[in-house]
Amino acid sequence: MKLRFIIILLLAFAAPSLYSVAQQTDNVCYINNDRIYFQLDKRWSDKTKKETISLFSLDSTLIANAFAGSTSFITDSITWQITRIDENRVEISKPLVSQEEYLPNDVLLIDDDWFVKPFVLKPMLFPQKKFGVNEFAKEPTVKYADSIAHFYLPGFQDKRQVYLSGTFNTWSTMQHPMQKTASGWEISMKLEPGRYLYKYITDGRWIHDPNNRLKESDGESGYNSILYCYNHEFRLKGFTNSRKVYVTGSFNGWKNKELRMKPVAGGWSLPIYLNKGTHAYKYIVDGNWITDPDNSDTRLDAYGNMNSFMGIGDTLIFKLYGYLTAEKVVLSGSFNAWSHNELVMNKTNDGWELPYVLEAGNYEYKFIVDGKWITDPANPLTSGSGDFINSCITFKPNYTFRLSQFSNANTVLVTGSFNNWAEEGYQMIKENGTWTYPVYLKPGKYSYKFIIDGRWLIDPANELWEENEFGTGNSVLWIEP
Amino acid sequence: MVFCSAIGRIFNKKLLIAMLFCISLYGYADNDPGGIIRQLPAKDLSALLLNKSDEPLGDFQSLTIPLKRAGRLFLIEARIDDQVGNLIFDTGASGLVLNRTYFRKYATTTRSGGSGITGSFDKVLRIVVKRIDISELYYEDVAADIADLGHIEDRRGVKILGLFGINMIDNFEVVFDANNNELQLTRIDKQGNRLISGQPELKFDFLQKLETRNNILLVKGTIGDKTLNFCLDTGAETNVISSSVSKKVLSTIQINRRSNLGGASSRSVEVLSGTMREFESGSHQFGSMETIITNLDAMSEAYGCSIDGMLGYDFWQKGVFCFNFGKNEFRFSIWKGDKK
Repeated sequence: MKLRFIIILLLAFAAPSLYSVAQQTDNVCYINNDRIYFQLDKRWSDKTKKETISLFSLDSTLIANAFAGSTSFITDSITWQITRIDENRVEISKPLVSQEEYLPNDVLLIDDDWFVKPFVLKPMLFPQKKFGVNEFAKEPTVKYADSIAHFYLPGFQDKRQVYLSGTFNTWSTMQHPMQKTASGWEISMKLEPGRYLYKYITDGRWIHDPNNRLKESDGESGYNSILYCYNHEFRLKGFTNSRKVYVTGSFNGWKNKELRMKPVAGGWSLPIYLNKGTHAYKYIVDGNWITDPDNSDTRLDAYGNMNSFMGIGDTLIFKLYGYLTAEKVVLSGSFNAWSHNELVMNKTNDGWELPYVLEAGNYEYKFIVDGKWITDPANPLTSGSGDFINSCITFKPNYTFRLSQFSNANTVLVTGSFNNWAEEGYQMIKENGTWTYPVYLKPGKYSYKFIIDGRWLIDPANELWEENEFGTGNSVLWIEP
Repeated sequence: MVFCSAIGRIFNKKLLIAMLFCISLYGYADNDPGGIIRQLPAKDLSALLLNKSDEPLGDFQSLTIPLKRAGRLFLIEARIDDQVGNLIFDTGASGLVLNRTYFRKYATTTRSGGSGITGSFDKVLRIVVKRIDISELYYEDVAADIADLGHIEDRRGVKILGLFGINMIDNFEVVFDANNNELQLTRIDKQGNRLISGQPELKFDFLQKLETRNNILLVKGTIGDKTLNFCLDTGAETNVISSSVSKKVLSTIQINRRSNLGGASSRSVEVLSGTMREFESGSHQFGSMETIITNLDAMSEAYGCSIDGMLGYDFWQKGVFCFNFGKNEFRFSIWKGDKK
């Protein structure tokens, strides 16, 4: 249901370019007497010709020969017959070859962009929202505080079972049963701040949250409810005699009447979810735009207006000890497309440092000391070999690869689908006789192997493995959200 | 579902490629790199298989199982012994087929495979799992075939424990509502009458005789006045028409796309996709449906009957479908949007 929505979008993205040709080529191809026929028209535009060739995997030389008046053409050991229909149209045909055999118990999978869908409308492309505020019909039925979300579904007393399912549990239908109360159903669960989609399952039936006004299509006839777990509260002290106070900023395109604050004791408040990053903002008090009186971080914008600034997210401090005689040290890595001049580090008493806001993830980086690229001498985690070694850092790791054997090995690498099976892998480090490498992996399936002094091995401590094309197996790992 | 990773995967795929994947069914795991498989003597496991009771259990007369989606597959979440994951609801599968990755530690035996036209797929590994839980429905001591299904996981981004064939629920009246993602099961007697009291019979607009052959479901349908045998396959992400059907039938299919694929074998494989416009079954003329045209000879041979096509995803999206194996009936209602 939810994934389906994405697929419809994908089809929609693929379709517009094919729509025009689909209309013009409605009757291009047909099968008759065990032969497959294509009718081609000289009057087609070059674009239509190209798209027809692509749609039907035809050979452009074959088409050129057909229009040039040939009566047959051989390509890939197939003899095509060419017949002229009129002065503009030709028909080419070949025997219908035997297709792939479909066997019992096969699961027939298909790529989503295979079928032409001329009737799919081009979707409106909404920019990704950088903030979110919940909208409940009455009193909020989902409350979030101290990293705990409490879901409450009033009513449905006649149901035997109600489950909560959403992006936070990969839409599990079994993992989170709700507890029956005197007035409805409830469940509490730990959630990180963020944007989530969810539904309830009442005796096997999917329903969206009837009390939540924020919803989006589930790609079928129903909706997914949207929940924001907040990570910030805008708070303006004083101004208690004012009538209307709004907050506005770079996150909402400086719309002035979108985010209305609520009066609270001693001031005004608006809890909100904001994307990670740096945001400029201002308050609008009865029509007057003011900076945040409690925030000293203010900067001028390009038009000379003063705005307040705040950052959301976690900061990693990159540190290079020593090199105090250097004139300039730059940080460069996979997080900034290896730019060699963007992140100039600050000199400190004992070296150089730079705080940088990052999402959880695996990154490679180097320092550039007066133009010379060096790895981080204080970091044993590296990737690559020879002249192409980078320092590696995992910010907020959620899994650690471990190999407790082969303590006498010289080098142990871990590689897998998470790094496109790079042969140089991630070099593991030995701690108390166990090789380890911490990583951040998004939820999903990963296959991996260890490379011990050049020898590939599946993880002896992991009983999950599957066949690979070499008949040697890959270990399998699932990361749950 | 793992939406983000699924998007990445789909965008990375080559345009214009559709693949038919064969599930490799292995015999004994001689090349087992982990040496994990433990084999019981065949006679011990045979005793287990004889004593198995894969009758559906659970304290209910009627039950709705929520379905999930991954691509165009319909998934049932299940707990099988100590594993939690998804089973593909696949009426094209015979019984229960489990993914080898998660069931290597089980004792195995072999049985003769159903697809052995080449001889190489003759032996199918078979295990017995202790318990399967699906909502309030559960099974104990269930025999299952073993197959490698990792490629489905990789392409769809979800944990696939196996395939859930219709035999697992053939003593229920089964209502499959793809649009609402529901599978409704109602207990019936041997004649197919509902055992639940106080609930009115479900009403459907169309009726077609349901035939079962070698654990697959067949219905008759017509295209261009020709009567054809269709396999009902909820595990197929698209409809399929056999390339061996009559010229008259094939001439009604509008071909929209063709691709030459280098398949697993060295020969080039031609795949055609198109629009099936004149399909009729149960006196209902269906609106346009996507289909691919491929070779179903091996399947026909394995099942010992002529299979002219398979009804997959696009078909199931058209309405609500009810299987009653006591009455051998296939009833359905079609959503209003379906163009005649």
